[in-house]
Amino acid sequence: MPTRPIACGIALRDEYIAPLLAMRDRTALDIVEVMVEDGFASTARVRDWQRIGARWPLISHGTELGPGDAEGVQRDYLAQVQQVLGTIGTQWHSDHLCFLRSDRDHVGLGSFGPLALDDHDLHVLKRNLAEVHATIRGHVLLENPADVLGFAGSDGAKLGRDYARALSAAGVGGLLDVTNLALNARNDGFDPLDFLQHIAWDRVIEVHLAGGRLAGGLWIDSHDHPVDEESWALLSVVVQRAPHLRAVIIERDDRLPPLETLLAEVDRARGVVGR
Amino acid sequence: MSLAQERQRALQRFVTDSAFETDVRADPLAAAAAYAVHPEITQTLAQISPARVLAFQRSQRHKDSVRAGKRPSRIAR
Repeated sequence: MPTRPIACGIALRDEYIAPLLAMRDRTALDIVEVMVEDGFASTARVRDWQRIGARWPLISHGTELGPGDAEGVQRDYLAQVQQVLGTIGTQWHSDHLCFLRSDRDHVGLGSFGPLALDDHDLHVLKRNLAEVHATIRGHVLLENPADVLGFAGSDGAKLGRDYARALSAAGVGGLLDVTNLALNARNDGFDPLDFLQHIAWDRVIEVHLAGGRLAGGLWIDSHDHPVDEESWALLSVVVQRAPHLRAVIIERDDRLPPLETLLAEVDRARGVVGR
Repeated sequence: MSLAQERQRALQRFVTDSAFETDVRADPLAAAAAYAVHPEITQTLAQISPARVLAFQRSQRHKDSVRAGKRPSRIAR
């Protein structure tokens, strides 16, 4: 069991800023996660985040790092991230274990490119994360992404071991998205518990929960539905096994419900983690 | 070019360039020679079903629309 209280909160979207700032009861959530790229071009938004941060601890998340990019990470991007993080002060920063740009001269993939996580990829991760740590001060976590291509295979145990090896090679903590795990397991026909049996539990710091949807016979991480029951069940497994788990975040990107609906999910997460 | 770099370029092209995807599916070894890609990579790509490529593209479009969105309130009531 975790030795410290586990904070439960939401991924912040613009639509929730005003309702959060208007809330008199600050006890309805424990932590807020901001999407760092949203702060690059909007000082007004960053000021809002600072106001939110005066009420709740902040953590940050991103989608454009591409830690597996064989071409290397983008230094100007890292500098922008650090500028935002330095302004708002976050407890840690996370992004996705993937590649985004295969060629500096061409447009990026636009979504999370799966990695084989063989020795070639681990070498790239180690090199890139050294650069990330040289720029971004504070802890960095990497998230297990959805892999709708099934590129990484369908052996749950191997996928769990590969995730553990990747975090170790990169020298980072883990953001375990249990919904991505559940969706990958459904698409690829493996048992998510096989994956969980082989990950590095002492590295897991944060959990993401979201809702996906079925499209064309495959599950995609659309983040436009409530957290599904399988993800809730997996959260209860994670809570029992991750001794350093610090936060559980409810994500929603589209078809946003009223804040109260998300807070009800936060309350359910609190029940699972025993807060 | 490293194997990781070559693999990423080929995967990116596979999901964004339909002519490349068609050639890889038709004959992975011939496509490897024609496009100067390691044959192990084209053989791996050929095993990815068209349905999964479509789902990846669909997921990508969804993410793009949400990112570009910052649409007026999308809060569902």
